[in-house]
Amino acid sequence: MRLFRFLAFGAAIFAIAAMVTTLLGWSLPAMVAMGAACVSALSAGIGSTLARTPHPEEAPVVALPLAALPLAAAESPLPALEEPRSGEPLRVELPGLSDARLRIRFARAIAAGVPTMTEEAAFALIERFENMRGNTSKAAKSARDFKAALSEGQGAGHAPVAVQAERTRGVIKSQRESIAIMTDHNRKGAKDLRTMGNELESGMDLLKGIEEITERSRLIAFNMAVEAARIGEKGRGFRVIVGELRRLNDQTVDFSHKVSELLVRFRDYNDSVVARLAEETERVAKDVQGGMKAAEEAVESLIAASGTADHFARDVSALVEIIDKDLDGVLESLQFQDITRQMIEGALKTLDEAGLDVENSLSTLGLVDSGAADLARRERIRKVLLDRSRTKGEKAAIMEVKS
Amino acid sequence: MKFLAVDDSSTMRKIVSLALKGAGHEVTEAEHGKDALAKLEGTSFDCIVLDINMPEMNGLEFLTARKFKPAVAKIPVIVLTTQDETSMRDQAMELGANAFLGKPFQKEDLLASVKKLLGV
Ligand SMILES: [Mg+2]
Repeated sequence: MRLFRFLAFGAAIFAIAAMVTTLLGWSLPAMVAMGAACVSALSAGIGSTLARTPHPEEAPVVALPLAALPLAAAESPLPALEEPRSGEPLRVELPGLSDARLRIRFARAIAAGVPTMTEEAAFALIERFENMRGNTSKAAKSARDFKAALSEGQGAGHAPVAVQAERTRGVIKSQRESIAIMTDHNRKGAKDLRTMGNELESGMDLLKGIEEITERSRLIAFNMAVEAARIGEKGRGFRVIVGELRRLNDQTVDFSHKVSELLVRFRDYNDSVVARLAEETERVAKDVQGGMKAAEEAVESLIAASGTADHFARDVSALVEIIDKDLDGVLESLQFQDITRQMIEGALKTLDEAGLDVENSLSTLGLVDSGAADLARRERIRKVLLDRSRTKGEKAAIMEVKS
Repeated sequence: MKFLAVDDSSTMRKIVSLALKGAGHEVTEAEHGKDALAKLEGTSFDCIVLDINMPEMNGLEFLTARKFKPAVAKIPVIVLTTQDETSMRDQAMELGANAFLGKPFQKEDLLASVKKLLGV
């Protein structure tokens, strides 16, 4: 009867082992291997220790001769165990059972460490989340300010960039028109001066006519002098007139020369003024037009840049919004830390209950598992688990298991 | 608005805080029902975000205790739990909860509940 219960008990241990492997996320082969190890250890332990041998100090240890016992053996007729004579619990050496009980303790330690570790990871992520959110709100604010500066201007009295550029474009256009009008006026002025130069030339031609007239009047004076000399005393009055006529002629020639010189100087001066005016007008017009063109191009670039900047600010805002949504998604995912923690807590509770079931079953059977307190056994299992563990956290949890 | 976030999970408390603070609210944290009742003494809150599964005093026990404290009973409660089941929802609402959200929750849903309850 006791043996029968023992086998049922072995099956329970196997179930616990399977649960532990599932809890720790071990692979199916590992689970099978552990299950098999559990069963063989239980069978071997039971088989090697069924024969009653007195314990040196405490209650006698029973060896169960069931080395080749299959799992289904519970159904076959089994030799009944002899009840212990005294009321003391029977100390049994069941390596599989002891191993399983120790492994449960290690599994518990490993699983118990998971919530702390995931919580630390979650907090590290949340810290980064907060940093990132801080940065995204800064970026969003910059984009907003930038956009406001573009569309509303910077503070009182400052028109927005786009408006300023548009206004400048208007000013340049009207300046260009003014310059064109001024250049036109200058050109017309130069033309008028050139016409005046031509008029001066005509004046000089007129002076040539005066010279001809004085030459002819000089000839008349000469003839008159000859005639006056011929008529003698009676021509005295004529001689006076001839003298006056000659003086007049000389004065006219002198005057005409002076006027001619003046006109030549004036014409030359006019010519140089016309040439300089035309040259300067063209140069200034060219310079101003060049400057206007550069200013116009600058304004056009500014208008284009303000459009690009507006787009840029909008893109930044959109990007910040996407990042914020993603960050919210991260926060949502992190809530699984609480969910997995509760699941692990549930699993640990079940594991504790399973351990208690084992203790109760042993107690009901009046048995004491002497192997579970064996330090060498515990260290051997610790070594196996350490060799197999893949993470630092798992190793640390395994190392923390004490008696 | 002033919120009291009650949850035994520090991760959850932090996440709830971030969501509410992001919307411009103030948040105080409590680890379980008893802690929440202690924090509600002398300090006024506009809303309580309450977990159900907690040590010391769970959410349902808190809701029951709240009924006997007129000042606390007036404060609206949003239940936020992993036990997102109809039976739990009914139980919580019967005990006086004003809104019920499952975990993991979405920030928008929490803020929508806040808006519905407080108009902000
Ligand atoms: Mg909880």
